Amino acid sequence: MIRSKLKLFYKKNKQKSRLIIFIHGAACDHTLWVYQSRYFFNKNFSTITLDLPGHGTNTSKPLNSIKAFSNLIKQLIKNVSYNEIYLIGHSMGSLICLDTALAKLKPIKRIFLIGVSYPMNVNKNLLLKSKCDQNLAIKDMISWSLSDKIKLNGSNLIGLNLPNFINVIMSNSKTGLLYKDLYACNNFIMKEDEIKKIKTPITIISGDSDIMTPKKIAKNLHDRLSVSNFEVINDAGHFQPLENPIELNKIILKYVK
Amino acid sequence: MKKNNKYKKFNFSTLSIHAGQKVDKNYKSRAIPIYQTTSYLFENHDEASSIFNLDTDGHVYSRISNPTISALEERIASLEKGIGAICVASGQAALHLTVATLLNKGDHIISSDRIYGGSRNLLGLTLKRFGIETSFIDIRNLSLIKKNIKKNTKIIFGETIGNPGLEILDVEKISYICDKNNIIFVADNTIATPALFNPIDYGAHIIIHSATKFIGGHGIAIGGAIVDSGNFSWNHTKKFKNITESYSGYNNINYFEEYGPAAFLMRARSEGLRDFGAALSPQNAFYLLMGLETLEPRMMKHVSNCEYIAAFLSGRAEVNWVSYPGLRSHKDYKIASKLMPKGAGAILSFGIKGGKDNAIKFINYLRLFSHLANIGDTKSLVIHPASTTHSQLSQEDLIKSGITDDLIRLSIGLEDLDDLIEDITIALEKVIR
Repeated sequence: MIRSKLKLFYKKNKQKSRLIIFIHGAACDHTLWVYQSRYFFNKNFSTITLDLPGHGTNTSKPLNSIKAFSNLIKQLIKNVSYNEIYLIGHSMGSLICLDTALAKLKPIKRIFLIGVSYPMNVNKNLLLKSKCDQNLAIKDMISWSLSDKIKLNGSNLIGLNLPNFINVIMSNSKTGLLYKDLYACNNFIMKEDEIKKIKTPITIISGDSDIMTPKKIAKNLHDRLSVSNFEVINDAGHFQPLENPIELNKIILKYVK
Repeated sequence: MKKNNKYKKFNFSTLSIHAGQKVDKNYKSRAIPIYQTTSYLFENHDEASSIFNLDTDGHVYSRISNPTISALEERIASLEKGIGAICVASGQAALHLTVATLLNKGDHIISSDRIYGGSRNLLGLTLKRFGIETSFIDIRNLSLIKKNIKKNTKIIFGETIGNPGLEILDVEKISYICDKNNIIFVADNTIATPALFNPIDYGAHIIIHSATKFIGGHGIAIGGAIVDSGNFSWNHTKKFKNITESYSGYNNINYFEEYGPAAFLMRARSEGLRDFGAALSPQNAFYLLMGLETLEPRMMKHVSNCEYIAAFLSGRAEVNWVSYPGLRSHKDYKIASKLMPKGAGAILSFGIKGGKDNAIKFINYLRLFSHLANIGDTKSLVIHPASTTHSQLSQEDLIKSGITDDLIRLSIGLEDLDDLIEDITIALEKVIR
């Protein structure tokens, strides 16, 4: 059932004990995690990257709220039956992780929030633009997401032009998807006492050049959580999984060992 | 999420100087260093195995990647508006690597019949020995393309500006046909260069270059490039199994599942450069990077010199015809004006009265033009294609390709225009005398 709603890319390790689930952000897909899913699989984790409904290769109907997405993740966690699960979310995916945390599911041992802010107030002009001209909104988002170093001096991935690569991933989305996603982010609400009650350890990872979800605002969330760590990646913006995969993997590894 | 306008997109000339160069942290070298090394130290075994497994990106061996070459790759990709690039030993290596990555025995290519002789040989004869068939047609004729598409057609190939006939492809319409039929459109953009034309803007899927030509611009280094637009929907067809099915050469990796839009580039690098080994040298990558820094201003001067010389030759009594897509008399003038408003390149061909004999005399009388088999140099160049670059073609194929006995190809350089005009005038007068 859950597999019909979530398109899963499942790398099962022989030692079926530890699983990492990676959740992408608005108008993205599982490709975002290519340098994490393979890396952690070869570190004896099973890994699941996925395409949320309406994203990437998943042709299911897109969803309207963070809650609807997190309900799918909760079902997935119940279905895969692992004792030790780590959730890693990027941007909109990090809100999905945050909402999943409220369910207090026992197998979840730690949650990683990458490129996060709460509340995730989407700029009104961007929201409007995503409704009227999705491709233009994507270009703006990429421009604000990547550090100048990445945009001008190149990526850390051999031969790849990161702004154009991310642009293609996001532009493959059906018209209207980005608006739906941004709307869901903008309207996601958690009560302050709910945030305080989250007891699952959380690691927030912020890019020092991120102006989509600036580190100052990410730090503010860290200050409101009961059990959390705050990490900053230098020379990275909002797309840290692709901008600086080596540093990001090191940080994740530190907390899952 | 907060909006801030301080970050912007960089423009062509800025990218051609800076893109892809990560400043050396140890010595702060302003110029890109030449990493003249075969291999790279691993910090530990963990990193080594991680890079070998394709879990982490990193340099292992310069046949597959090298920091100087990857700077060139990112720079060319950014100028061509692609998601990435692979640079190889030559333009021919770029075409071969593209075909060999995507196609298998039994597959079919439709190629323009107006292409460089070496490419025609590779597609028509060499690849045929490996079971890949090519139909050569005039791909400006769209109905002819449709007639020639077969179930196993996987690539349509053409030069955005044909060599030496200077035909211009309607990239938008050909791309549309390709998309409808799940065929990859591979466009050779060597003569136009990204300074004049970006085929990706019009839907081309893969761009190749002989970087030896205008990209380098100095005639000192051989190199080639493949740029992927990332806009081909690999998962909409079962045709490209090399991309969408697991590959035993790398622990059954499924390139599309892992890398999405970058699947082709990843397979071309991890299989093609590893197995075929047509690597570019770091030294040549450096020369090509130096050339790219001045690509836009050079192309503007190349074009203005060429436009003037084309008009000048059109008015000479010794000349039968002039072919330059920037001239109203050219059959593709309209499409050239639409696609290449900054200019239709710096190559022209013309027919001299008196045929082959006078063509050879004219070439011998030139003093400033260099007689050689190259194009896209700062120096002006001349050749008689029928007896040199395209001499391997049969008489029938020469006629089909529009390469007549009287055809002389000029690659217009950056010398003073008055000096070039004087050189041509003297040579023409001596021929007729």
